[in-house]
Amino acid sequence: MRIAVLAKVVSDYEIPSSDFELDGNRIKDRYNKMIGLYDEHAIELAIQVAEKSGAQVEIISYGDKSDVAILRKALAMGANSLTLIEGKNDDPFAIASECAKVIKEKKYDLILAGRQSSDLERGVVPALVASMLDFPYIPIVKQISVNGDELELIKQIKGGTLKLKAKMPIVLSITDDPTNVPRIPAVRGILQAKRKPVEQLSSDSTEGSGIKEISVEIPNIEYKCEILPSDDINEAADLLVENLKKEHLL
Amino acid sequence: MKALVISSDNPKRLGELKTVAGRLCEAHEAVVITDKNSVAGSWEKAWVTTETLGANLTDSVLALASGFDYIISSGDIGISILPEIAYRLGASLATEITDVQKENDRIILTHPVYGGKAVAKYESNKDKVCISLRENYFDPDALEGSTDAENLPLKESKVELLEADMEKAEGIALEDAPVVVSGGRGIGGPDGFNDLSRLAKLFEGTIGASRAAVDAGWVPNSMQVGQTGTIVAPDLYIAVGISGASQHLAGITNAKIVVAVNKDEEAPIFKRARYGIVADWKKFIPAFTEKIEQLK
Repeated sequence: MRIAVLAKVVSDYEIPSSDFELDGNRIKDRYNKMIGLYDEHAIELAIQVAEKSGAQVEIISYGDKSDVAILRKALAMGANSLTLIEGKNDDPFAIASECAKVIKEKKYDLILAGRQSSDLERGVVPALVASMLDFPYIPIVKQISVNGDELELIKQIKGGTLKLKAKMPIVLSITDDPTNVPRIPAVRGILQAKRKPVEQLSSDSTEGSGIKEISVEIPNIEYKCEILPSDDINEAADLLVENLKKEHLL
Repeated sequence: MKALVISSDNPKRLGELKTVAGRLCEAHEAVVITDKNSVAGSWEKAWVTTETLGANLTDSVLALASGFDYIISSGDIGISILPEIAYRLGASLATEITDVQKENDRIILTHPVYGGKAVAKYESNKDKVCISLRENYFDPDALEGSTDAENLPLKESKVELLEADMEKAEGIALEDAPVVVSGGRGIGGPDGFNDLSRLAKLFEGTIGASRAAVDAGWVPNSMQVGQTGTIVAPDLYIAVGISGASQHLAGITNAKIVVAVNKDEEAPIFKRARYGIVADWKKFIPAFTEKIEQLK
């Protein structure tokens, strides 16, 4: 069995808004790079499935050559190989068609991706990959168990979960769950990662989603925070009560 | 011009979609997931289905959708089916949309990016547009009256539902609560949420959590407040032991007054708060709870 995980390298998504800067319509290129939040959960889940089933886990990413160094973390976590499709297009149809091309050629049973990237946060690339390959698609999945060519999976919905059964090949988007918190790579894994195969492909997709970006701006909202003195906890509690009364909340 | 909306039968969700359809054109039709045979609100035509899974609905909706200029949905069902519909129909696709405005012939779509730290505005280059809304950003239409519905003809199932496991809803739903008391990593374990629950009850509100607390397994996923959890809009939001990651802040954009309790005065949550208490929550929350009890 072969599992592909689609992963995207993004700028540090935890930088506070006070330190956030744009360069034109995109984040400034001065922040640390990392694998997207939900993509890491997808990688962890794929590795867990592989540990039980002996499957191969292969990472597919679309982005810059320099992303390879960041994506090695996925190899250190336990993925078997990495394919980087070099490209600069931000359009989800273009990215999806490049990923779908690789998936079609290499033939995977299971394709996972984070539920959304940690930069543009559209959450559509895995769905488009499924459409292009004519595979079913289920978003926001948190657990998987494999049974021959069938899968049982747990999907998060509002207020609960659904247990579903589906046949492979299939594309799933993955959300965070206590059972798929990304492992921290061990030293042995980091050393092994250096010897794992990395393939770099070029891209030429010109597909477009038909969406034109007019602007990207930092919203100009200022909140003024009043820090209530808290040397005396009781006084601080009284002060908060007073202020909430002033706001008509009490 | 014609709009098709695809929705659950939650009146808030259906109402939000009706609102957006109303901004785009006059003629609206609806596909609603429900076991009833009518749909709230006035629609030119309505279809109902009991099939809840997007993967099993996509082909059926696709069969209808080609006659429409705008295909609008939201939440899980929107992201499940709209990308494929856009791909098959050659329509443009915009997801996680928080505002839709029609200016002359242009449709301007708003989409927060980078965890809400920036906001993108888009317009469609194509006549046919698929739009998936982020929930809780639009005033829901009142949905007056009701429309008799036909059953949506279903195509072959791709996915089988084995079991639905819904958490027992206690009290008021997180997204509707006027007061939310949320805990994060700083709470240190599941037990601390009992203290938050006691405080929330005094305000007739409910409790929430950050992603860190959910991933630690302290509370169920349904309690997660944030961009990919529940988007809340309470009058009062009390964030306890929550640092304020962008993901979390994006979920409380519409909260009116935010109170932050955190030991770390550098925590980004204070940048979003109206009132801040730099202290150990274990000392402050019981003292504050006691004061509120005295008021009752």
